[in-house]
Amino acid sequence: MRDMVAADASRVMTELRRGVVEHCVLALIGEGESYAFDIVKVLAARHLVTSEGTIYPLLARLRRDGLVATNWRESNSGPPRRYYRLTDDGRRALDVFVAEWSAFRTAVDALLNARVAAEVRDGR
Amino acid sequence: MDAEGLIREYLDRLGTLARERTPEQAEEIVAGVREHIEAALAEAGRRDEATVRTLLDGLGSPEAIIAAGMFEDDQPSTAATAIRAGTDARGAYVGGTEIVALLLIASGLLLPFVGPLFGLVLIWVSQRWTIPVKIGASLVALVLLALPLGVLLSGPLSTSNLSTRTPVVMSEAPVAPSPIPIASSH
Repeated sequence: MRDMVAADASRVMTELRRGVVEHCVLALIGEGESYAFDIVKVLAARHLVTSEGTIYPLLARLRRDGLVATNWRESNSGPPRRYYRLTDDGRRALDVFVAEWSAFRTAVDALLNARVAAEVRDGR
Repeated sequence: MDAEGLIREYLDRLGTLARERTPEQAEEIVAGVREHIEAALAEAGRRDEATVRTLLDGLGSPEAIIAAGMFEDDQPSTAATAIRAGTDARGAYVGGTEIVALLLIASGLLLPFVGPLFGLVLIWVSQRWTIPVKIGASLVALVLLALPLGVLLSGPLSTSNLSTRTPVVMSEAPVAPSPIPIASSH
């Protein structure tokens, strides 16, 4: 039973990550032109991706959807590298998400905190 | 299998799976992953088999990468969907809601309380305006809400029941507008 609960929580987190990660990618790119390898490293360090490779299909899609654009830059070590930057649409998508996420997070935190408070009150 | 063989096999498998699921993006996905592998190995300063295996483990199997469906060919990214859904509403900076909101706020000079209050509600209903713009517009509306109240409070007619009035609190926080000014005007 405990295992089932844990597996369920893990599935929920996978789905949550999936919806949120693309906006984290937009946010990272929004800080300045970014190299995909660096984006993946940041996301992995924060445990936001389990399979690092999944970011590449995501980047391809964001580019196809016009949220990010790329250009090639010479590299000191090896072949030219593809750098990503936000388009105006990408910037707008990020702004919309930031506003909605903030309200969403506040609401969820308030509900979870209320539950904790009730448990403390009921002596559970 | 040696390190180069592992990489070749991995990228071939990824390419095959990607072409099946999302032909237009397959090349870009494989190129991205290939670049990642090269960058990681350059950073590690080694290309031995153990290093490559650890690296490929971190990337996830080609099956896992494709199964995650992050490319969703038939379904645009949620971010893009949000933008598209909002295109009509957000295309122009000022639309029906915003014009009515501005007119109502401006009418505060002729129609005390009611105009700016409804204007204030419409500002926050607006899909076009961002939070900072809404806060700015709300401040204008609050000033116009407070003006007639200030006149009443300082006028001779109001001196008799001054003590029963609730003071108007001007808030700069982007919270829902307080109905206090209306309640206290009755």
